[in-house]
Amino acid sequence: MLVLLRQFRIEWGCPVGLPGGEGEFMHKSLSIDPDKCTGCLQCELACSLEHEGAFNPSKSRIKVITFEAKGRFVPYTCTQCAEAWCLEACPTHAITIDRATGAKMVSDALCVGCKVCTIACPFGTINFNQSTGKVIKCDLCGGDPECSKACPTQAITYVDANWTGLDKMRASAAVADAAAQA
Amino acid sequence: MQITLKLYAALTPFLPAGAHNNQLDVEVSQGMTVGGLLDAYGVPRRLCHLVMHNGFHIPPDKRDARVLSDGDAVAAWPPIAGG
Amino acid sequence: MAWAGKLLRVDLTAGTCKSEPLNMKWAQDYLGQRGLATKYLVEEIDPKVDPLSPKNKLIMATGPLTGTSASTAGRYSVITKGALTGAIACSNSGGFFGNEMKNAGWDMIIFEGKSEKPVYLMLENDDARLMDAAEFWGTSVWDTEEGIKHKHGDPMIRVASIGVSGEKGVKFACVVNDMHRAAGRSGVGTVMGSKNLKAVAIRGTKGVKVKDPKRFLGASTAAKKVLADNAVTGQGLPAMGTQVLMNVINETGALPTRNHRDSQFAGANDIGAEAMQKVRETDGKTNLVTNAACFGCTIACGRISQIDRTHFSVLERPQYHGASGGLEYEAAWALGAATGVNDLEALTFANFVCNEQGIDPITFGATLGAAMELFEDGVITEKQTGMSLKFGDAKALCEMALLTGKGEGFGAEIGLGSKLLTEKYGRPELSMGVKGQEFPAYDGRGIQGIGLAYATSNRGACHLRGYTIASEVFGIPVKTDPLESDGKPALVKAFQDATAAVDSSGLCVFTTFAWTLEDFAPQIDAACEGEWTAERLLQVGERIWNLERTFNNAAGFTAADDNLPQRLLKDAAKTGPATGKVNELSKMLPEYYQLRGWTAEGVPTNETMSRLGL
Repeated sequence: MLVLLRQFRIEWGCPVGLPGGEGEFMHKSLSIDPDKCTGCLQCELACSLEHEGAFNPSKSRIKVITFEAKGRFVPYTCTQCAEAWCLEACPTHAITIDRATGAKMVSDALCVGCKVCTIACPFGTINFNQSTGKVIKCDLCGGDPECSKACPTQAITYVDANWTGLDKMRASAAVADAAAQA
Repeated sequence: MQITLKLYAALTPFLPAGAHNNQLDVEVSQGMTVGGLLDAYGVPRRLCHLVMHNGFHIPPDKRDARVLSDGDAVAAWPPIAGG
Repeated sequence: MAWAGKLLRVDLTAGTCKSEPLNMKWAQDYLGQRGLATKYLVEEIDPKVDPLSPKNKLIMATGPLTGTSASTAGRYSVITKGALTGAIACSNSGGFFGNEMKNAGWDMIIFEGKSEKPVYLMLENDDARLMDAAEFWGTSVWDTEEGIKHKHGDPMIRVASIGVSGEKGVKFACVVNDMHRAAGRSGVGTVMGSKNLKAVAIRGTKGVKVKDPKRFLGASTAAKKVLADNAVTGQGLPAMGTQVLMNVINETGALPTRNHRDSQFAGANDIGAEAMQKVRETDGKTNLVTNAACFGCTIACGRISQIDRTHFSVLERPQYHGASGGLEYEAAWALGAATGVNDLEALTFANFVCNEQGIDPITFGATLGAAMELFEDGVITEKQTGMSLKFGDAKALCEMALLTGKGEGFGAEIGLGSKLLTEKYGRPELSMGVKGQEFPAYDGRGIQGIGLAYATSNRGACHLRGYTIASEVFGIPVKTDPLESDGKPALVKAFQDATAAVDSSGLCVFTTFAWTLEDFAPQIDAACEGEWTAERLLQVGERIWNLERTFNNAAGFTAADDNLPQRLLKDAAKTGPATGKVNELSKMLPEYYQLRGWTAEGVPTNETMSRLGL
């Protein structure tokens, strides 16, 4: 049932372009604001349910990193590099780009579990899954990320890939404007 | 007459200047009611969930009828709970 | 589904760990966590057993929804015969430990016997091993948790452990998980220590499934929206935390102060939520660093605080400079109003120490308050205490927290709890509690219903067994007059039964500020085998309540123990709205027994027992 749901989503997901054609896709990115994160792990629950069919944070593609002594909670996952080191490093060409979403996708059929990609990735966001013998990483849920929908505080949002800074820009503009008016 | 106005939690910003420890003694005219006092200081009624007059709970429909006396205290909170 | 379907039985005497199937018939009758573990305990131990003998058992139990994506679904409870009370004990904790146990594939762990030497349980999915804890014995909760993660090279292990207090037999030791979440009350950590069990470390990667995932997601998403849209759970609790109550309860005239001598505290505003958010003159920062959530919680009422580095308590103690679990209302009341101390930073320090060494801040603060009254009355002097113990002394609070956490000096006497301490010095009337457990932060004179809830609580005085404050002060679900005792027996019974069901589900009782059982039922029904309605949950709750009661009766408790200290029954409140009032327990209690279907002696009638299938 969950697999079916994902397929449906792809149909009404975000891509704007000509299927299989030359059109340019407007990609979106996960935008993360640690200031808003409470560390509840609803993102990890949603991610694992989507990809593993069970509530299992240990298999989540997104992790909330807690810095205990600072009181900080930082959700972290693949940023979908334009030049993806994992993709370049893979000896079996198991990692490809989903043109519709820009996500770097792992083909389970081709992945041999060599973990070279996990060494190549500078951010640690692609990891080996012992249960399947394959690597797992964020695939943006086909363009409708479950983590973002599950987040109760909007710490994780899915926004125009060219404008992940828009919220910060808006906040800064408000400060600058207030100063100008003062 | 003098009334102690106490505003807490999300109502704190409605405290007049000079308030200390979330309260301020304010001068009001005779006949002032609990509801009238909160109105006078611009505290939105929809945010005043818990209102106490000298520690006694005053429900929304009694606030305009409850008349204050010199030295009384009025305290208000938005919806709150805990434990 | 939802239940993992098996439990781990750890025989500490023999050093063995065995898996056994969960009794699914009982799961249908008692749901999980508090209810189901109580059923196991009642079936397996003699109610008259000494809580600290190897014959007592200690159960860590999750609920069926623990580990799912329902909001607040990270709870677990520790169930045993309480060291502080000798009554049934069930202490509930959040954090992330409960989820880890469920993800490792276990509904509960039953510890029995006593290990010859200190051990900890290492549980990685199906692999359960008792490990030598020599290197951790004598160390704090914080060092134990860090040490176990380091030793196993796995920062994702979740740990529940006891501090030095639990090893030394302090009567109100907690089991602390995730550094600062605690199964706090009734001395469950003391029982753990008596078994030479230092810690339980878990790593689970199996996943949690539910009966009907699609329906479950629908129900849990709808319920989360109710929490988000509710002004209390959506805005009030995340912004202010439970500490918002300090000024509320003080204004109501029901903030027990200086060992219940008074019921209003002039320093209340110095130690409440507003004070935690006030910018300090010394360092330009606030005490509150951020709010924080337990596993899966979309409310996030938790407080993370940082102590002012220029404060006397931490000047020479850099280990307390980082952010950690901040003050919740009950702790702030006990460490502050009950002792007359209005120094927020000192309270935060004492709270850190309570977490670090695993002591219940409610009983600690309340017992210190009783000791301060003994000191001011001249019953004890610096000869016994080693320092001045006057009400309001912040330095004494900090020093006594350190000493009690380690069971050293006069801290060992504070560690007896107020009942034994005041009995020892011939002033038992100064112990402010019921069945050996100290009151939390509401005065039964100014709030009548909570007095009855305290008197009848199965684990000794407790606000969480029937939080009538919701109705009597906040107006949830309907406002009742706190000074009126009429109608309170029915209110108390309704809260007690519903709470027993919630405590057995794996979810947090704080959801009930927005949810009714009608919001729980669809989530439980979609996740669990069987048909679950609000009516059935309420009956499960009533069954649990009566099962706990029969255990206590068999342990030797009687109607005479459903009582309050004379101070609440004879000494009227002196200030505030409750001036002139005492608690009207004698008026409420007979009606309560009648509503419960109990005899005038507080014993469930045969008819009640058979109606509940007991």
